[in-house]
Amino acid sequence: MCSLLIYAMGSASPLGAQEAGKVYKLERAGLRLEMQALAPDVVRAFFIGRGFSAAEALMIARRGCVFRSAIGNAAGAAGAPEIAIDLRRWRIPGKDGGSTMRIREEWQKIWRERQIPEKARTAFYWALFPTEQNYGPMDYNWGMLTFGLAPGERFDLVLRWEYGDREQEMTLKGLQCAQ
Amino acid sequence: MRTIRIFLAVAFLASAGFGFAGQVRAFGLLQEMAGKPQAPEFALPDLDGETHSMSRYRGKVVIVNFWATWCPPCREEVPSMQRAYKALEGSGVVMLAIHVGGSEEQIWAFLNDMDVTFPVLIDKGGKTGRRWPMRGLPTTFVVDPQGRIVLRAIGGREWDNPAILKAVMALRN
Repeated sequence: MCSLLIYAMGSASPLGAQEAGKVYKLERAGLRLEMQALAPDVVRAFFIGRGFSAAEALMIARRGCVFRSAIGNAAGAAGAPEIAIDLRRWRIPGKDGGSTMRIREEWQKIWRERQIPEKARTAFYWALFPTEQNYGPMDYNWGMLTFGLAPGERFDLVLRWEYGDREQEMTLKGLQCAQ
Repeated sequence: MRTIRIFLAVAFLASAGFGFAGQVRAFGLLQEMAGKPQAPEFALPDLDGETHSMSRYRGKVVIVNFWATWCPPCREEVPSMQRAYKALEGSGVVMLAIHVGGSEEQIWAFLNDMDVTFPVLIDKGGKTGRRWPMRGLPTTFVVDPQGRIVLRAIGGREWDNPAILKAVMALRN
């Protein structure tokens, strides 16, 4: 496993510390990633604006630990290998084997059980980063990542992806949910 | 609440572009679609209430863009899509933008200050998006005159890039 120092571009954010967390950026073995924790108030506002009740939006904000992200292939020209990402293989190390991310399919199950309106469920589904995706050169997606942690909680994140036919792994250390 | 939403928009826009803006190359802008699957049929209204379907455009090259107003790279590529639309006008190439979820009011609010003349369709329940080979936003497909998806782009592009226009025009019968 390779632990890599990631650089936090705090000054790159147009927001103050209360609105969002640091911007984390990395580029390694075909992967380009940028992520930033979103403040609970921002998350609440976003989902209330898309059909969730105030209580449901608060639940997402309190239990989601939501980051906005852009993740894709770092290559800018044809011929470079594809990368393959499966968020189900990303892990948060910890006691009892750690935990996994909260992917969009898990949230959809919760929303169906709670009979959330289709409009809200649709917005949530497409707002979250896709669980599984292959990226050719220049390809990337934008979307939210959710970790199921409390506001302010610190954690490490083990990333796994395929670059061509090679398995890659690295650990992002010291991420923090916004509060 | 308005203040919070403004902050939100700024926060999301901070991710726009993903650092790719300066890396445009003549090749590799669009990926070939493995297996060239048939484009799934749909019947969706545009913002003026007119219904558009894939079968309506059989025999033409169709660019199908899936987007949402709250997706920063989606927003960023709209102006270049409009320029591409104008450049392709009269060439037998159709451009359709399909907004996943949302409401007409939200889309109009975003497009209000933009001179967008290509059809913007709305997929309120997101069902059309799930039937296409698409997992995240933005994603754009190019469908050939036989109704097959032959090219795709995951993520934003500068759609009036000459290399993209050339690749799209080359698909015409």
